[in-house]
Amino acid sequence: MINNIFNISLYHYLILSLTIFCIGVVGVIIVKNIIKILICIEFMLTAVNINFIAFGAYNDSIALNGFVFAIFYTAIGAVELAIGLIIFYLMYKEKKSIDIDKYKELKN
Amino acid sequence: MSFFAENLYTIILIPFWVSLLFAIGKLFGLIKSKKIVGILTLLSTFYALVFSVGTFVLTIIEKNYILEQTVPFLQLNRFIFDIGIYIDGLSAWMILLVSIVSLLVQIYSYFYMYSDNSFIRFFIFMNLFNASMFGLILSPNMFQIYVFWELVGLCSYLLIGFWYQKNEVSVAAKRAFIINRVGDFSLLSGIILSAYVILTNLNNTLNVSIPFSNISTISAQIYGCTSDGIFILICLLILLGAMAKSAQLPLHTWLIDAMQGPTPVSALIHSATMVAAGVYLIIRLYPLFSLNPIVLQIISVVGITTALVCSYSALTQVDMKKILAYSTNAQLGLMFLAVGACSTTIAMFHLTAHAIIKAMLFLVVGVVAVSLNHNQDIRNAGGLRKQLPICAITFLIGILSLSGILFAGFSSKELIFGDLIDGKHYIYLSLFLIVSFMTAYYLFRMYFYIFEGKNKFDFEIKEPHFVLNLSVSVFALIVILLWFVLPKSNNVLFAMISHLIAAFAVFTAYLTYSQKKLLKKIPILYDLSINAMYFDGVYHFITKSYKRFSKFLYIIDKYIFDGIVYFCTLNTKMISWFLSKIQTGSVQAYLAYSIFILMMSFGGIMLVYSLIMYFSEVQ
Repeated sequence: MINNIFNISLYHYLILSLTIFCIGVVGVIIVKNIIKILICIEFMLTAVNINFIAFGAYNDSIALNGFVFAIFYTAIGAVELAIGLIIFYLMYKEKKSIDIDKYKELKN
Repeated sequence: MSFFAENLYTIILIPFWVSLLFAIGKLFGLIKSKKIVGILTLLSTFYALVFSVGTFVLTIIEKNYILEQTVPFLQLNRFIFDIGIYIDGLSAWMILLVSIVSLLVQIYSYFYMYSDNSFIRFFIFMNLFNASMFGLILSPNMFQIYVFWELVGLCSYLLIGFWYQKNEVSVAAKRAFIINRVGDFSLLSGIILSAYVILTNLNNTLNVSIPFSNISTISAQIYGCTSDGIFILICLLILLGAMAKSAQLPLHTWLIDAMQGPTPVSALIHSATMVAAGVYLIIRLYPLFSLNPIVLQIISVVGITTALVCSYSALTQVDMKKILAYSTNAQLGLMFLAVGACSTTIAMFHLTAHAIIKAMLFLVVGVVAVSLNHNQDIRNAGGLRKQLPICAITFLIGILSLSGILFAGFSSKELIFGDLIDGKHYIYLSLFLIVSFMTAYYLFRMYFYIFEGKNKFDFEIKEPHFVLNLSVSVFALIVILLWFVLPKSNNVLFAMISHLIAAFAVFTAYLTYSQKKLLKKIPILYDLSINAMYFDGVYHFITKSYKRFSKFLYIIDKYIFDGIVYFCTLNTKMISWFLSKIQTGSVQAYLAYSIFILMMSFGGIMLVYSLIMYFSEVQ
């Protein structure tokens, strides 16, 4: 398969997922736009999904539990996204802004 | 007659209940009528008078009549404290005196205080005072006497500060109370010390509270089981309590301050009855004091010094009530002298004569001051003999008597004189004569200023209520009657000397009054007298230095101890300020913290784990 052709090992997948996860974390911390924060959360979810599939493909070729988990995880991600969106929508209605810095009621 | 003696305890309870009734009624606004207050008060005091007359007659009929009714009040292991009453000749005499003076003064004060706003409050205190004074006189032992001792002190405080709205009045009340507290504390120490001596050295549980019924045996026991030093200490502690109450020398300044109270109060409490309580206590405990001649010497020295100093201070005073207050002080000193150098009976006679005379003089001064619109300066009066004839006559009777020329005061002074000669106390005798010279001088000076000459004011004097005159006249009558009642020694020497001295004093007084321009004020002597030997100054100095010392301590407390505490709180404040700055409120910052901490802890765990693995492999 394509893995064999390009000689891609498990570690390459892990490094990819780690990179994507780090991008997601940094994005969540530094980005001010709430939509972008949502996108970054999706980045982190995707990275975890990649991990599942990689482990499933390399270490579990019989039961394929990793693939099943990945499908569930995608569904959970969709639900989470929906909840996140509705929360952000309500927040937007409150402050008429999508800037996360406006939400600092607990300061000091 | 024994009915009166056996039910004598009711005269303590009834004024107390009346007082309580007024207090509750005033609290709920139930008692409004001044008439009811006056009638109830007078009835209760009259009741006391009837019972005390009955008891007194009984003690006269039956010589050495003694009645003790006690119930146990407190029982702690071996310590038993009884309450009740103890009647003998002394307490019956004293009760009669107190109830007579009290009744007359209350009749007087009903009219004197009638227009005052706090009329009911005045009679609450008066009744409470009556109850406490009767309780004090009838106490069967030292512990009960201490309880009532405090109560009369409290009543005195309340009545001195009766017009507490004025600042100087409340200050005077506080000063009187504090000086009395010194004496009370000393008295309590003396009682506790003697009780301790009895309890430890003698296995006599009945006598721990020092009952008066067998005071002589107890005194002998105390004397037998203590060293001289301890015995004198006990006596001096009790004596200091009596000295504070009777305004003797180092603690006498409160009596002058006490004149800020209403005049009936001065008449009843601060001249006739309460200040005599100290003398009464000493007479009661005379069997104890007489065991050591040094104690008696101390009593007489204190007495004669007080008499000298206070008479001397009275010479130049211009406030009517102050002159009488110093005079009271001096006469109390003579009573102490009589106890110490003569006998208790003579002291009791002098106490009786003085109580009646001084109450009368105060009441006269009250009438005079009211007719002069509450002006008590003798220089502003003058020529009142024509406007207030009854006052002038009664005042003259009083001062003739107190100067030892005629009537009751003559008899009692004659007795003291005779006894001093018999006991060969010639130093005391000469000082006593000096005191009587000064007494006659300042009293007649006061009389000339107030009643003789021309009026020095230009307003019409309103006629005093006839009841005021009546009560004063009754007092004058008693003074004259006492002359016949008191025993006479018919000492011709005394009569001559006394009249000579008094005549000289009256002449000097008249000279100072009429020839003001001829006489110059002698600088040092005058200053000493008008400032009462600077006793107040000394006390002011003591309190002032105490105040400075406390201010110094306050500064130390504020800047050192409070500083340390403040510094500690400052640290906490700084830490909390720093921590509150961490709480930015931004979700992203919290996320960053948590990720940072997570990474650090994971990294730490991994580091430790790998180190352990590495070292275990090395071994």
